Amino acid sequence: MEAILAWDGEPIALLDRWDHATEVVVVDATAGCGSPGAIRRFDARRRPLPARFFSLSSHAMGLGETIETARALGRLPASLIVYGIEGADFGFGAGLSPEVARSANRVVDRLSTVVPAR
Amino acid sequence: MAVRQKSLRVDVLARVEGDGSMVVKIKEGRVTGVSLGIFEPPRFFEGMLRGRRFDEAPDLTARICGICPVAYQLTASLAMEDACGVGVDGALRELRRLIYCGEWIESHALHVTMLHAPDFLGYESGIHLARDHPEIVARGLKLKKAGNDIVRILGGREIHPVNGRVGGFFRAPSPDELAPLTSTLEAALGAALETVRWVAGFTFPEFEQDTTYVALRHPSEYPMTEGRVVSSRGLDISVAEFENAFVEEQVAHSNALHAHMQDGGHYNVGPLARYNLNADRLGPRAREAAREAGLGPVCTNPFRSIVVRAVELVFACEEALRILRDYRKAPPPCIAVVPREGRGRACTEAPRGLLFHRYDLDRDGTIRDARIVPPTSQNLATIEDDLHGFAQAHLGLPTERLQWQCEQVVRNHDPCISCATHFVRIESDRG
Repeated sequence: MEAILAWDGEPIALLDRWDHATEVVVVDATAGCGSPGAIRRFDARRRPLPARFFSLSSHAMGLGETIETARALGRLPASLIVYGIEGADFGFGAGLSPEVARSANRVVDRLSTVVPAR
Repeated sequence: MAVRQKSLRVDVLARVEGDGSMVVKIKEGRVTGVSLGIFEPPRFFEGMLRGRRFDEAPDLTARICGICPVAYQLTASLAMEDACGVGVDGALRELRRLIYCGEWIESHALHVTMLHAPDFLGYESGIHLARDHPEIVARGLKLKKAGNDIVRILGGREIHPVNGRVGGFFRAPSPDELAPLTSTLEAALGAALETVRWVAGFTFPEFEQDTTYVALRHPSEYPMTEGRVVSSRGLDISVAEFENAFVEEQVAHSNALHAHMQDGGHYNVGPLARYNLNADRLGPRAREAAREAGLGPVCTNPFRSIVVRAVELVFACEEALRILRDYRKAPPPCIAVVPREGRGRACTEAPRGLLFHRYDLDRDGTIRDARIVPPTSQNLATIEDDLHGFAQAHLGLPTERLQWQCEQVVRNHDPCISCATHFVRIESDRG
């Protein structure tokens, strides 16, 4: 795995970013699916993401729709793992809630074993 | 036994941006009520802007929408420039028009291919369309990417671009930096022309509405960033007179305000309105594409809005190529804007239609008051009129088919519900 992106674009544009990648890991927020900070891991090659887990999006096509569009177009990478971290508060304000920040760090620690430091 | 009373209810509309519902009530052969329920929570942007600096408005308002941030950013900038008594012209004005082309391309491409076309082809979603016709969806996504590329190169990033500001840009690109866009847009123009031919072949329900259309009108351009506000019923006013001509009000079933003209009439903004009031201003390729698609000088069937949107895709590609051809040298990135006390207004044509901003500033440029009227909230009453009219005319359809087509009536207008809920007026009765 060669690159880390902080992606603030539309999810659908990820198709172009992972076109030449063999292994992709996406970390995104989930809402309404458990305790704040709960971490879930999905193998998106094996089956679609549960729709209720990734319904947050300010765009018309969220992460789940993006992955299914990629699957329909034959543009899924060889490996696509999605980590969802349950958010605590999606209201106004900046920063992560403490439990979400702790979980984000745990995911980062987990990924740092597979993504070389640069 | 005949069903004498029924309701068509969709609790969460699919393939629209944001959260909304639809209810159509039918009793003894008559439509007795329709409502487009907007339950996306209000976000109080106008309130948030009070007390902020005038030059913060473009970045703050861009957060109203993830699909049309350029529209908000530029309209805010133009309104502030109006308040401060300056105007941006020349190459900077062309760069603004170019980034707006980018937004039209990416928004229209997504809506036409992934959100609206599935309705005409019997697919549940763009994903289902992609499984059967991957080449069509790939074409639409490539078009969308061309638009995103323009916004990224000119705006600094695809979503909520950071390079626009009051007075112009923080940095103007060199012609070499823009050069790669030429081949991208030449390919996009080809894809846009194919898209027009594709959608022109759809089967469209027969449905004509006597709608008042409202759009900008410019002396020479197909409108994007400036013009007078005109209607298909003879209105012709300056942007400064907008609030005298149009009124917003709260309705019980919606977190988004509804708009109407001062005489109470509903009106429509967006591609159909722009086309009906400005078809003579389209570029030659777009005009030819419209003619080949069977569009006359005016189109009043909302289902054919998909064809008009595709024609606007051609126009935006054509216009972007023209601007790139003429761009010889990076200008100074912005003009000086000195804040002053006063009121500023601006209208631009967001992908979904007319967008209005008004700001009142203190002497030091602090925002005292703000008002933002997005296109979708202006269209909500017309969408309900369309629902009423279409359902009434097609009561003979099986319920499931009628419900599907009523949802399509909503999608004809490409509503952006996040934009429409930027504001709600709260009144409390302490009596």
